[in-house]
Amino acid sequence: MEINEIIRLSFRNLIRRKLRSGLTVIGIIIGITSIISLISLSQGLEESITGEFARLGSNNIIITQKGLSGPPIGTKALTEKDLEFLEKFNEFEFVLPGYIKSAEVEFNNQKVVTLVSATAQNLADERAEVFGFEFAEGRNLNDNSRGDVFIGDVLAKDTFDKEIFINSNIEINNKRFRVIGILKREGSQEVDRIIGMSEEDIKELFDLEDTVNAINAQVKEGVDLDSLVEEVKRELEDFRDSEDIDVQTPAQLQEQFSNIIGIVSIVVVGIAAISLVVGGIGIANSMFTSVLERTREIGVMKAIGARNSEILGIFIWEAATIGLIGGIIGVFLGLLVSYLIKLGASLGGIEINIIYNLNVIIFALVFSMVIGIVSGLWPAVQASRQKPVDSLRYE
Amino acid sequence: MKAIIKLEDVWKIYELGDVKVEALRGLNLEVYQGEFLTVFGKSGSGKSTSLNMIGALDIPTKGRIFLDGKNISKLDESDLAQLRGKKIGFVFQTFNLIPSLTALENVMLPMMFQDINRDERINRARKLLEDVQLEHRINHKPNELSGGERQRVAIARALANDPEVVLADEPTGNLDSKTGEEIMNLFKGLHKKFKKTIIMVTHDLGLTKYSERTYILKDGKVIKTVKGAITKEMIT
Repeated sequence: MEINEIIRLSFRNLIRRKLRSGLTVIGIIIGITSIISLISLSQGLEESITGEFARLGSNNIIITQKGLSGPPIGTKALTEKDLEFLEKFNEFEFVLPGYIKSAEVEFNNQKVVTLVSATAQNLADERAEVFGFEFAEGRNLNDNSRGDVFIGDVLAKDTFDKEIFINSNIEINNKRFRVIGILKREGSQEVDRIIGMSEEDIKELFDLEDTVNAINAQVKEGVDLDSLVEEVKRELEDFRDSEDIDVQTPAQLQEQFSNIIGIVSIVVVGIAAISLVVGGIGIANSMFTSVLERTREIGVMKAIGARNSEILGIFIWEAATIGLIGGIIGVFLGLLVSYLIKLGASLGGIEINIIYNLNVIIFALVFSMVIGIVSGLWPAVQASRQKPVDSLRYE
Repeated sequence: MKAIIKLEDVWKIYELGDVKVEALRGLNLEVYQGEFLTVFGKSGSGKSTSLNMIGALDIPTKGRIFLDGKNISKLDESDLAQLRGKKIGFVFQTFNLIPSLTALENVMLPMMFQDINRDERINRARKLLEDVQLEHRINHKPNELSGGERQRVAIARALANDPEVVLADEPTGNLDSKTGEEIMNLFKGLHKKFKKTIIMVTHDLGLTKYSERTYILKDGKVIKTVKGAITKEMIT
């Protein structure tokens, strides 16, 4: 019997029990939909984080207190004393403090929460130009920029009902600032919504005294980053007399974030995979019922010349088709769901990247079919082993 | 005359728990090419079991079965399936059509298991449905057909692979007497037209008049062979 005939016959049998096939397919659809949407989202997330880190440059290191990129563990914050200590290192071209805080911004009687920063990228310091932002309008801060800010493109144009122009006033934590520059759109949700202000302003606004959130050190050409990281950590911890310093290169940080995202997505996709197992059990259940119902039919087919292998083929194809149909619909819905999440998030002002990966889609389709085949195997073997004499007598 | 099927001292013993049931106890019979033969027996006579043996649906516990001179009593399930598909056409009491397939597709099915290409399958199935006067119902599914029509489809299906033998198991058992008669006349007509060997298994005395020869079965053995119709007296 030709394979296309087996497929045709299997399909007819599925259509014959539309309702039951449909319900069984739903089990697979749910599993594949969740897997596809979760993978698309987590890959998008990973890509945007990689993009963020790329802009930090490669020849620098970032010094933070431990726990800043993880759960808070009650460590001592970095201070300006630490900054002064690090300035003495010969391996550094220069060191710059970084501050980043979230704040409430009010414009046109509307309020949003966004990040306010004075970091290596926007300090009013000519040394910081290596990290520099690109401006679409206006200019960067300078030494006389108390009370001035520059803002990201999305914050300027798409966040409030009215667009913020150069020289508009905005209120940050109830204090008035003047916008002097608007950045070019970067496609990064942090940068496109950021507010940059002078070091003095951010310290005053958040009452930071001598606390520093992070220290960014530009390393001289030809210095080995890995051994420098070790040395800086050791000496700074000695100086502070507490072992609570993280010294990282952007590459390391990026790897850390990628790992976290990787673990989270494995866990989430794993949970989604459980629903696929349940879907597979549904297929097996439906196929067992079907084998039982069609006992007589199996007997007839055998009587008129069907070999065991052909009966096996018909039933396995039925199960595989349930899996595959579930996979196709699931992939489609998964892409749709992740797109809707992106759409919904952007309405709420959050830009989420999604990545549609062809390999993932192909894998999902093959996998859904394999689930069908595996689930249908046992019932199909049972069907094929029935003796024609017994099956024909079955009522 | 050439014997197309021959059963030699065939025993079939079913074990139901500790009890052994001897359904066939040394059955001997021969079927000649081109004849219309009835195997007659009351229930419990071993009639159904003999049908399974003749139709290569089951293998005997003991004894030998020859189909076309070949001993088939030791073949495995897949070889038997192939053999059945090619050489034997079945007509059942309950029609046993595949409910999801149309009349035409039901007739095409046995040819599919013999790897006959689709165009030829369609042509032959159409032709056979014309032979049983169902050309106007070919795209109907079994549940849209009357009992008599279903049995006609089943007969067309039995002839699909141009088998040497058509085996009919109580072919009128589920039909009213008028339709039953039509079906029997159809058998007779086809027998004449295609010169097929037809073996009918029945417990209905009235049907024996259509066949040329009848084996009367009792307790798993042939007790009498009769030419033409049999009467009540012959079986008591």
